[in-house]
Amino acid sequence: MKTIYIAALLLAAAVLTACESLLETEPRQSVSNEVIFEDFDGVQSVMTGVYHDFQSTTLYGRNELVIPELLSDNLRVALQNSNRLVRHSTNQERFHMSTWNLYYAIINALNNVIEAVNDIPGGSEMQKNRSKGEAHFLRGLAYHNLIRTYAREPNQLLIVDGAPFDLGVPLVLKPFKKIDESAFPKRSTVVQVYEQIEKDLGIAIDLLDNNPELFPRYGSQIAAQALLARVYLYQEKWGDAAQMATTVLNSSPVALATEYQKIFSDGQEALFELTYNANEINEAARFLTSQGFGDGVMRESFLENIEPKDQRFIEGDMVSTEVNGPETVTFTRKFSGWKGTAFVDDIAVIRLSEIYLIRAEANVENGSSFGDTPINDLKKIRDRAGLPEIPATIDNILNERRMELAFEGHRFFDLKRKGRDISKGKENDDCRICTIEYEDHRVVSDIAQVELDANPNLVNNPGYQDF
Amino acid sequence: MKDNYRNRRLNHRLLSLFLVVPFLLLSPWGISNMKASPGSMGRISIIPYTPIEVIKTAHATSPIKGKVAEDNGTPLPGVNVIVKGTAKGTITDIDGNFVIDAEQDDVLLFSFVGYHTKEVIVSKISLNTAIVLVQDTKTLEELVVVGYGVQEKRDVSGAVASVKGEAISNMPVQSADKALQGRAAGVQITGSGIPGGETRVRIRGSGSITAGNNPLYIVDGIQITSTNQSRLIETTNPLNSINPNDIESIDVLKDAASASIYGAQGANGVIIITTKRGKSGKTKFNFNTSLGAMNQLKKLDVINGPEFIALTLEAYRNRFGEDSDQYTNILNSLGRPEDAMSYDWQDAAFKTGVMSNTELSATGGSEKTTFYISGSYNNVDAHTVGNRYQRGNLRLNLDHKATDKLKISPSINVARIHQRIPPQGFFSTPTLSAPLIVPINPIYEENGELSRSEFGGGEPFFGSFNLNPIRDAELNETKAATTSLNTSLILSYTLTEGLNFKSSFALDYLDIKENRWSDPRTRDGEDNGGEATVFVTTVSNWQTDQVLTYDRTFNEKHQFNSILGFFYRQSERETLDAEGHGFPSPKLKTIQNAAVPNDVNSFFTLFKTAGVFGKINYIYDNRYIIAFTLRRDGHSRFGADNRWGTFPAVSAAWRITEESFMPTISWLDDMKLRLSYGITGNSAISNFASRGLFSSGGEYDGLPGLQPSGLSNTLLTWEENATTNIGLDLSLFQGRLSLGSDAYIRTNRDLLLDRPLPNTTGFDEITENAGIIRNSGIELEVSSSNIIIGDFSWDTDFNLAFQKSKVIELPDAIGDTLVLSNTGGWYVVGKPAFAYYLQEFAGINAADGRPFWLDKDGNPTYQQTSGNARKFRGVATPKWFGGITNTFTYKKLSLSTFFQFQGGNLVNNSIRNFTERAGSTADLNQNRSQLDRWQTPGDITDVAISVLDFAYPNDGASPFNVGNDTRNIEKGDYLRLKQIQLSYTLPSDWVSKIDLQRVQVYGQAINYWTLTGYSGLDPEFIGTEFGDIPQPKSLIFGLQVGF
Repeated sequence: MKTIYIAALLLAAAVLTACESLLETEPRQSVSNEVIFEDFDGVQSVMTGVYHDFQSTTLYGRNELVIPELLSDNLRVALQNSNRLVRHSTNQERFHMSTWNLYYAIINALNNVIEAVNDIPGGSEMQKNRSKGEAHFLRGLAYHNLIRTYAREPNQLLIVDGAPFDLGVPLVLKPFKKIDESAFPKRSTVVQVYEQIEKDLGIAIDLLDNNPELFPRYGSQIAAQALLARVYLYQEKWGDAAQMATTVLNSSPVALATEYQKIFSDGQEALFELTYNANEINEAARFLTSQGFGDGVMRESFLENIEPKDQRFIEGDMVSTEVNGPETVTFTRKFSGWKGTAFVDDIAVIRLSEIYLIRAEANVENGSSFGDTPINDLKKIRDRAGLPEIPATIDNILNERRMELAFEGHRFFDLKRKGRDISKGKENDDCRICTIEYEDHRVVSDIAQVELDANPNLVNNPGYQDF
Repeated sequence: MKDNYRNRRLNHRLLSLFLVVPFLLLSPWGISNMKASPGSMGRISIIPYTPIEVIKTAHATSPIKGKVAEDNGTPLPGVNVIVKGTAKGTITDIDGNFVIDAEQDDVLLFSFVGYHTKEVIVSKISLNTAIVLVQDTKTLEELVVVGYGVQEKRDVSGAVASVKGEAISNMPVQSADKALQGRAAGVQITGSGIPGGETRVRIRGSGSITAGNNPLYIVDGIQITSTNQSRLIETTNPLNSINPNDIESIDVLKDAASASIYGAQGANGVIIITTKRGKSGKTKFNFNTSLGAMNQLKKLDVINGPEFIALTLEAYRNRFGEDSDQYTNILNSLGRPEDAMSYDWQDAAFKTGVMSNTELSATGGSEKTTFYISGSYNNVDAHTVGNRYQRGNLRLNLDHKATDKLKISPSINVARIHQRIPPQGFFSTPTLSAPLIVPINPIYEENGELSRSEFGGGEPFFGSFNLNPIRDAELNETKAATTSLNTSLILSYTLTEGLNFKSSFALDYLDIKENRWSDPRTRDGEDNGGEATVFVTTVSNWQTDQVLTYDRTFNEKHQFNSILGFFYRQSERETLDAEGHGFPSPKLKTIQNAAVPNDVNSFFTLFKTAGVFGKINYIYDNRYIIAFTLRRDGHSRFGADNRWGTFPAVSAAWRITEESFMPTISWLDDMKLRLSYGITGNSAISNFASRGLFSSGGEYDGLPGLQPSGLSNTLLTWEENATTNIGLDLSLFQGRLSLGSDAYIRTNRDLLLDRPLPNTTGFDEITENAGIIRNSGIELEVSSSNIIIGDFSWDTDFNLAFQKSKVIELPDAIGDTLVLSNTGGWYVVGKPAFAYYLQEFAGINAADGRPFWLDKDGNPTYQQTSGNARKFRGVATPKWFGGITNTFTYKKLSLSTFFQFQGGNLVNNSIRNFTERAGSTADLNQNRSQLDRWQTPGDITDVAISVLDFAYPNDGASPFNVGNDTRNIEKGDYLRLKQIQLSYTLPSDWVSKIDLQRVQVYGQAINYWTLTGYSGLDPEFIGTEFGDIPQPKSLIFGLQVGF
């Protein structure tokens, strides 16, 4: 009998000494941060995760495309709607892009790649350069989309309390590991952020090529150059913009689509696109089509702005006019299920037509003709749309951008970088009070209160009061 | 002799001062050296139903023979028979007979646990007339189950609430935790109206902000998986597998000293469920059946079709003007108000539900082997569409004495549960969408079938809900089939007198198969030709306890109960999901039939925990009780550097009435003062919260991705909960009135806090140990036999708890206010936790009909903000709550009423965000109150102007903006007649003629009366009512037959 309980106690003692190993567990669908970059597969998987994030509803899966159109004069939410983005349509206080959190999550993932990629055993130099180049390209894209949302452009700053309000967004360039002062960054200035974007894109251009197997679904040299042309344009570096656009147009592996519809149905002329399949729904398509929620419809003022016979707005091809509840509305058909399945249309982040329009605008502003004359560049776009030639004035080019790039997420930012007021559309049909002046604080997004609470070093944008 | 005795007493007092040392005594060597004094009684007091040993005395008296029986004539074995005023005693044998030496004028005391004690003069005793003992539910409470053992209530030094199975039997609930509601002071319970749905149990408030606040559930010694494991039916209750009527008792360990034997998991209290076990003797059967009807508790008062159209036209008129195209279009499309149809969608979403329950149990056995076996079938076709629950369960509890020393106790409980719920969450829940859907939309088409809206070629609905939620709830299915297995094997071996070794092994296995079917005739399934998803979840949880107990009484006055044990538990959860779409026919709903099987997913997670523990309970002379507990626990969830925690506790009690200096007061039976302090731990965070992780993050271009998903924190460790408890127990008037009261301070420190991080880090939070929250409260339990006159009796049980909480400290970098990143909840140092911080709604501007609020300085503003204008408005958790049960018995007839109540809390009636927009979105039905909208300048009203989708210039504010303001905040006070029951036990001479022992019929009504100012569906719910299915009121009739 005594042996039994002595044995039991010995057993208990043995079990206890083994306790440390008793409590060891390892997750099976996650990888700990110590081992993720032990081989090159880790880098590729993290990059895939970042592309997936760019696809999401918060970014190019909807908001980057649709919200700039709602905030400006292209789209409104139908009277009969699914309660999505209604308040963006009327520019209500604090209803803006809300992309901060996801872009910074992306930036952190990219920072991990950039920091680790050179030291990873395995993976060829070519592979490493490609991943590193893509990471810099995507970080440049993320920072540019952030800076244009959360700050005004360097030449369009407002005077606040006697000085230009020049705060951009925090520049975070190292992966986050633990809580120290780096966890609570201040906002860098707009100029500093643009410098960083140019630096990132410069590295990307150096490291990347235009590998036809990956183009245009992944970052490439041409995509980085195209984005850099856009970044110069936003900074009003007209000469740089026109020259970089020329570089793109001279070396682009793709040509201008011959038919407008093919841009969307066939992915022609995309320099960088996000590809969708059945596992990832393109929510912009849902928002913009009546097969989906049918929420986003063209404003009256936009419809009135369509020139006769514009090939870009042919009923049944590129637009569809439908009775929707108490009104007749017009939907775009850019994302209307061209692949045969609804809501999986690919989304072009940058396409070639934009580059022509960038060059035309930059050359006009610069009084130059790098590459070609503005009137020729504008004519290329209008010819395809079946429209007559018009003078290459800034207003005409901006208007062409509005029509050509409609519902692709440019309009609001075009008005903003030009310092123009937003005219919301036709009074009563589109809006009751129809003008939002450039100086209005709602033009720039607020920084969310939770972020301000969590980081005492942040300052909100002017006009967003602490009530 | 006397001096010698005193010395010994002194020695033992000294010993008691150094009682930490006695853990050594628990070693087998220590025990074998410590021989019990000769002549000591060696009573093992923690084992229930153990009779007092027969005492032989030198007095020569004549043997008295007699018999003891129940009121129905069944002999009662094991009854204690004592000659009053002496230590002489015996027990009755299997036929209820006893023999005792006594004199003719002696008084015999007959006592048996669960029965009223009876005194009879020896001269009145004869073998022909049995002494009848009457059952007493109150005295059953004398035994309480505490960690790893059983104690008599009078010996308990911590804070423990006990609810006996009888008190909750036949409640129409699927899980026992729901039946606890209002029965135990300080235990707050809320739940939804889904049969088998989740219950939220909070013992003495919530000590954690972001870690779990659920108590630990222990069923027959086994920790069960107590969090919801299903994924589609997110409100599944883990206690579903246990038939509430199989439960012998539920004991709630409230203070840290009581719970600390479960150290690691005890921070939120422990609920110990003990199921019934067999009793030797003739096999007794018990057959129970009940049938009931359930109905909707309340309907929201919404406007009808004509009123809706009038309001909508007004919204268009105010927005566009009467001459506009928009106004003309809407008028043409909707028609004139007076021509409108109106349909009551709420009537369609609710129905009369039916519930039935049938069970059969048997108990019996021999001296060596006893068994309890029961089977039950519970069927609920609930009060809302597409809401069903079926459970079959089987339990077998066996106890076999293999030898005098070895007892083998296997237990097994198997349950199979089928559930179907209507679409869950937000607008798809029919009970939520019914009051919101525009009432001009028809429920049925002309052919009598449910209308289709625009799906399947029907006429589109007007408004936000352009689908028929009733039809969707019927066509789209969300189902779960759960198989639950709880098995355990306990071996008890008596090593020497008082020293026992108990070895237990248990497996708690859960298999949940859930199916979701989106019918191609509905919006969810239309795009892809029907979609079927299957979710398989298995949870395998195994546990072992190896426990030595040593229970001895020395010199009659020194009673030791000690425990030394080891515990290990491992829990694995594995899931496998698959989805397919494109189905040839809506009749074929399994993935096998899908044209495109397109998504497969799996997940695995586990945790491991281990601990050693010891406890010494010492009672001196029934007067002084002191208990020490020490537990050391490790958990795999914590950082590699900080996995182990130590949890000590001490408690003491003083039974003042046992003191010789206390004068004998005739009405004061017992008075006990209790004091305890202890520390327990909380580990309720996700299994890998302390690890830096990259997890799978979607796919792109056909490739799988990884994303940073967690931050490493190798220092992460236990959240500590320290509770100080002081209590006073009184028993008065020969046990007719008993009072128990407790006051406590519960402090949680090193909170497992999901601390918000700036999103610029790439993360929104990190789990770290920071912050302090304090809960404090007072609890009172009263049990009283108010009146006993002849055959009439009136009993009352009452409990009441007051509680409050306070945020004491937050992480340094956060400052005074913590705003959680996921919920947006505010926590402010110095204020209660779980409070509302809201901007004050200041009414409607009579000049223009616009709502305004107060800004941070108290000035009116049209703007709503999330900033400093939000001020403390009140708490979300009740400040006081409790229950009162009154039972009136006349002969065989019994009427009981059970009220529960709570108050002091605020409730966000969030559905009003949608039903109270003054019709300004013209797409949702509105509360009747909205007819009082502002119409012309000068109107004094609380309802804004009705104007379609409108944002005011400059400020962009909208008239129906609602958010973090006080507009929809209401008082949550209520008093509810939870249960009223009338039962009648048929006279035994009737039923014995048909060979039955006991027949009882009863009827009960649940939730039939509520007093509250709350305007929503039900003041009793989980968190926010939005999207929950409200509980029903029910009427049940039942029959219980014993044979």
